Amino acid sequence: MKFRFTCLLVVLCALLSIDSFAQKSTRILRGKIVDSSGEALAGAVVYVPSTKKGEVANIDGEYAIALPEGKRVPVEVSFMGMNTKKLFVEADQTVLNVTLEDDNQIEQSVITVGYGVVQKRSDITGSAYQVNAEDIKTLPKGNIAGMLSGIVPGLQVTESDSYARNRFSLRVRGDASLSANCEPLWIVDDVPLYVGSTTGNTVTGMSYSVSPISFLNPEDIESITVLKDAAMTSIYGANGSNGVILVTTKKGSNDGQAHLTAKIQQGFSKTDPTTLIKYCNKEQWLSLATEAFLGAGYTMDLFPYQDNEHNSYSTTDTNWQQVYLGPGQHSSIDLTIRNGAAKMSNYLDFSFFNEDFIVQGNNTKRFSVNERMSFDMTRKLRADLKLALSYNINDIFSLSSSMMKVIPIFSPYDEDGVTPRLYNWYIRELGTTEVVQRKFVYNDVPDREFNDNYQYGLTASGSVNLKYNILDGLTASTLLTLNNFSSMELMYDSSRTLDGISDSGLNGYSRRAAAFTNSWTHSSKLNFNKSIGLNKMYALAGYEIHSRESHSFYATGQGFSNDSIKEISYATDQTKKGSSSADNSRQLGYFANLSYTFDNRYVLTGSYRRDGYSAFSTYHRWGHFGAAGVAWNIDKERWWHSNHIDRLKINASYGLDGNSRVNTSSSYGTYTYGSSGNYGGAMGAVQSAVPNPGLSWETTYKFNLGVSTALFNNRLNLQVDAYDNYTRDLLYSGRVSSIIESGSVTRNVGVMENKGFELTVGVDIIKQPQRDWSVRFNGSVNRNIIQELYKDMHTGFFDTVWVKGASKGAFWLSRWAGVDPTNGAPMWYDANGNLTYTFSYDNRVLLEQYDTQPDFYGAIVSDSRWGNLSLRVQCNYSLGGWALNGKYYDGYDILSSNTIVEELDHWRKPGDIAINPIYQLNSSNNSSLGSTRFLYNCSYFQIKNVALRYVMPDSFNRALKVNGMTVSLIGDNLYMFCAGMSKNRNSYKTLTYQNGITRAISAQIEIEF
Amino acid sequence: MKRIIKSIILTVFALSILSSCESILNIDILGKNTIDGYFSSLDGFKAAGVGLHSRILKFYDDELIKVAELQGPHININKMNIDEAAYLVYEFASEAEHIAGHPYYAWNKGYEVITNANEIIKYAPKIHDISPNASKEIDKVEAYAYFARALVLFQLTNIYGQAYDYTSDGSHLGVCYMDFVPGFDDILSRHDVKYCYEHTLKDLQKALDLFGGDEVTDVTFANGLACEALLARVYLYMKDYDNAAKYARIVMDKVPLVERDKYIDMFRRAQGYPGEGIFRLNTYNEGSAMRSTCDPTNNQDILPSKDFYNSFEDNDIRKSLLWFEGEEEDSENMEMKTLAICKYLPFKHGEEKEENRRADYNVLRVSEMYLIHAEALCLGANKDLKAAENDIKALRARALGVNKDEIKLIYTGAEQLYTLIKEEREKELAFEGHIFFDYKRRGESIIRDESCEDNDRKLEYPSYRFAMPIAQLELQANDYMVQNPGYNGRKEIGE
Repeated sequence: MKFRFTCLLVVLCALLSIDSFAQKSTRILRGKIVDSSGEALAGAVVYVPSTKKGEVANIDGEYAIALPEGKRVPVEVSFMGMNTKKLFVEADQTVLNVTLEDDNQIEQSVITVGYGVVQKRSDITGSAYQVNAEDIKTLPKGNIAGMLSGIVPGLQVTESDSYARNRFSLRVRGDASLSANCEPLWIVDDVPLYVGSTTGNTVTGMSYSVSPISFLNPEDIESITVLKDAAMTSIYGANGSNGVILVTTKKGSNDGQAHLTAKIQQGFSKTDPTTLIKYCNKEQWLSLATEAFLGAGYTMDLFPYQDNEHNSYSTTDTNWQQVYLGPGQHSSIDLTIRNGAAKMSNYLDFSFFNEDFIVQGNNTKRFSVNERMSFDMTRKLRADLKLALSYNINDIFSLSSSMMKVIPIFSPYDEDGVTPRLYNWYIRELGTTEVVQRKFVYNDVPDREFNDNYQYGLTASGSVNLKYNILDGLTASTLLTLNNFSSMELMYDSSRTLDGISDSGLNGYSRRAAAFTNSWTHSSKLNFNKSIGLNKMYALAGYEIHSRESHSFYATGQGFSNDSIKEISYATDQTKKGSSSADNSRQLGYFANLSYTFDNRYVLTGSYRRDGYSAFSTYHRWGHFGAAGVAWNIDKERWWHSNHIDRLKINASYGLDGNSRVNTSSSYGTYTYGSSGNYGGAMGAVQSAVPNPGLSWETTYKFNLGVSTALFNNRLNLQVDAYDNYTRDLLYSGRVSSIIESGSVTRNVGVMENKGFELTVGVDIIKQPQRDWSVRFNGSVNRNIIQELYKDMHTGFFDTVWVKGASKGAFWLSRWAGVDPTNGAPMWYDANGNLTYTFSYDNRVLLEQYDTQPDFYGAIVSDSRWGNLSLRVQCNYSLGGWALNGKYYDGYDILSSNTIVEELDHWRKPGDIAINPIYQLNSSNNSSLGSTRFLYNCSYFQIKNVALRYVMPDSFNRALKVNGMTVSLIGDNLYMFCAGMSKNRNSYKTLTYQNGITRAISAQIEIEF
Repeated sequence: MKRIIKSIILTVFALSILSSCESILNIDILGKNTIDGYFSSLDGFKAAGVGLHSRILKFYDDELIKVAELQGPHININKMNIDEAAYLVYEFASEAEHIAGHPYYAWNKGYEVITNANEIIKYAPKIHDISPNASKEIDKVEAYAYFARALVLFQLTNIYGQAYDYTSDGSHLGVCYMDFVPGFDDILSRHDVKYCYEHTLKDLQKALDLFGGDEVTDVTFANGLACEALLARVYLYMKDYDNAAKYARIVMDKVPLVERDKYIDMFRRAQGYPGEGIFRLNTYNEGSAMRSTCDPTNNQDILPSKDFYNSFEDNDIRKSLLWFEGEEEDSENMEMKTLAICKYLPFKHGEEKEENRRADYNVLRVSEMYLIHAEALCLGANKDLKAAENDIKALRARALGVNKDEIKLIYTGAEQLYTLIKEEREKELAFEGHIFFDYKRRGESIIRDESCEDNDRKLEYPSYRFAMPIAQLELQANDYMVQNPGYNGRKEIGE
């Protein structure tokens, strides 16, 4: 195959050479094109845009091309699987040797795997997916976790907005555990990233958690690799079972030139109005409230909300969503300097990011500095230094969903229209006429205006890596990294808000908290890399120690003379309280990895890790993990001949990983001396955790089978991975006799399986020098089955249940049987399938057909380019999956809170065939308790990201004296289509996000100097 | 130069390999006390004694009082506010399957007390070794543990078992008595009621020995007198009237009844008035569950029935503990006047600090001893009706604010006097966590007052429902656990 291709190129070369030598008014440029290892690139193309002429390099990588005389000319050098280089040839230049670098996006190139090792894709036996800087450059810069949404097959990114700002939870190939953390392990430049406590993404000691992942600056990222199967992850042993996300940051360059890049972005955002929960408007609410009120036997003159001197209900019509949501904006400035010479390189990045969220009163700012420096101390010794700082200021206004449910006849302001309202006046006792003053606790406008909630986060990390080249192919390296993560929280409840007003007259409440996590990581390793004839060997062995210590403190006080003094020292003495807590753990691991390739055809890999964790008792402290993998590059076989299939590879792996993220006190048992045991004002101590000496690792056995192929001159790329993962000794927080322990106890019991497949299709529909269009599609299926549980007991959670043989996310609900047309009563089926009029939790049944997890999800990304203009469109989709709408009350509390528009469709008179039952005030029929009536489908298709980029022409750049300039227009979350969407009713897209989906439009300018 | 660098590198590598010795994993755990590490000082041991009381308070506050009172005849509920778990108890409809109900929590909050008591008992010898000169202090803390274990064992037996004399030999199901700290592999099964009572008495005697004859200085901690008072109650439940009368008398002789003008404050302003408490749970700075369940200004769940309220004479001071009137300090509810169980609602007036406002729980108080004494003398083999009558007169005279001689009790024979004693007991100890167990031990049906919600609900004696079900969660988690007869057994999902 390769031979035939080369022959063809030689002929082509010859033909083209004849043509070029025929030119007269030109000069000839000659040179050699090689790859990074110095190997000649036969067939590489040199193209001159100004003459629209191209040349192909011969079998030795050499070329000759005619150029116009007497001026500086741009040329483009390209080769399949390599990044195209755009260069300038000076007027008097006659030689141009070019080294092309691998384009990581295309198969046949390279990928970063465990411990930062860069390997050829054809040499790996497992499943991993790499996202490069190029893929994420137009994605929202708030949180790296969010950037990965959709684009990585097998990675599920779930977004929630429960704290007014978006949080992400990530799953690689489903939940690998029942009770332990299922978030993947994050590794940044070989060092585990602290992403919060065992529950993931939460910072111990803070009232509101801001995800530590949001502190990373996306501009610093060179690549993100998601490692999925055992062959890839078992080198991370005890923490690899949830998959690993490897982040590699950018480095300096060695070309002797300084590259200065500036990037400026400004964007505006707003809630997509079609994604807001549809609550009743004033008329609708009034009609429901009136109906329920009259239905309860009262007359309207007793209606609780009669106009009075404080509340003018009849003229008030508040849309509470508009009260809290408004325009947002975000901006970023990023300055990068990359320079270096043969023996030294340097990368320096300054970045500032600012975002005002659509929930008014929320802001985040990130300042980051990142410095990487490497220099060759001797011919054999190289040192890499890294310093990274990220300072984050978050101004938080936490909005709970009940704030949007306030009835529309309440006003956020007093009658003067400006003072945030604290009280309402209405009839409290139904049936009486006495109007009383009530606290308006569901008005958060005063809190937004007067209360403080600031969080300052600082992460600092520094590392030194020494690499010594012992022999040719054998290197030793040692790494030491120090990390500090600090958060400080300043909260103050003003005396002008109900939170700050105290019955005792001690107004104003202040909380000051701080949390520090210090960690150090040390690793040493030996790398061996050697090719002898057709044999290629790669080996890695080393150890790693990771030590972490966290401390947190807080102090609170109340009773301030005024709101401008907020420090605890000014609080009333008796109210001052404070506390501190601490936590630590240490991990030690030995690891080895071996990879052998014969003739580029057969690949064998093996990896092993032995891990110890201080949190486990000495009997169960150590775990052993390992994996083996094989790959066969069929297209490299001599007998392989195909006109259409350019590449075909099959790979398989099997191995095991662990998960040790449990509370560090679980195995020892603890006594807690503190407020929970206080009695009569004296400090007391009680047992807080029962000793659990048998506690140990959770182990996931992973099998992966992959097929990848490239067809039709690499125009069509296909990759299919199938996997079957068994998690044994599940870390399951389950019951033991409550004689021993009243809560749950973490134990290693049970087995859970996750199996599924992932499909990636890439098509280059158009591929021409000035025009191209490619589409990438990915889709993933994961099925989760609990195979064994402790004594095969089930564990129920009101609406879902863990039960043997079903999925972890299966619903467990009473089956709704509709509304009795004669009287509007709610009906259910009991456990035996008989109709019943009474709700009972005992009638819940397992509903395997409804699962919280989607059936199929992924994304479609289209990249197209016409000359200097390019367009990227990313659409995410998800099919199947169900959620429960918990917003129905069937009139129960309609007098005190608003409701969704669905409640308008209820039974009114005998004979009505209605969806929802009779509308009753304070009804006691329990109709709003969890049943299948509230299930809704979560399928959607979302236009996630559209980016239009224009690369300024050279003439423009010359005029501005810059090397390059790109302008982009970016749209995020433009529109979502979903199952059951409707103008007048709620559906997945309105019920999922409390504050709707944030739609943003941004402009970005990127200048290279 | 090159050599120097080489040797530096080699040293670094060598050091780093040495440092990776596996002992680095043996770190001191920060921020948490391992149990063994915790029990290594006298101060820690004493704090465990304080913590033990916080768990008794939780057991009483969250579970015991509610379980006993919600099943009484004179209680009413506010259907709009009451949570499902409490509602089911009120309706005599508790089932094993109700996940988060009282059958589950009463059990595990009770055993939480017992576990903490057992840890103290387990480590007492170690603390004696560490602090050989503090044996008196150590004995006192250990005595707390024995008392707590006895009290909770007795109450759990009351909740989950039928009355003591339900079978003639006491062989019916009680609860699990455990005098050690169990591990996950220990067999934990139910003992019979007789066994549970025997061990209650045994633990109380042990506690009494450890307390010695010390004078009681703080009734908010377990004490010797409390042991004797509880012995009186246990003997009464066992229908051992001689012993019941004997121990009640001991306590009555040592502590007088609180005077009428301090009576209300004994409950609602407990911070300043120890009253007649023998063992009283201190509610300082506690957001108590009973307070929120009874509070008419904040979604009141339970209240006295109108009939019960009306059964008191107007000048009976105890009547005012059933009627709530708003205070000036709570401007929003100043005008409020309504039926409410006020024993758990501390007065705001006169006490600025929220945490100081206390409405302590009287686990044992002297009035109960009068009632035990009266009942024992009325029903026992050595009857003394005159003395019994005297006890009742003392309580009634105080309540009505009259001289003892002005009280006339009209009865003929022990049976009629017993009716009067029972009436007085209901009024005096109303809503203090006795009534359901009283009906059970007397073998009487519970019939709701006319003025109650769902007043057709009743619990006729005998019924399996006089013993609460063992929660499904416990049955599932513990193979050796058996259900009370009458309730569903291990119903599995999908069945």
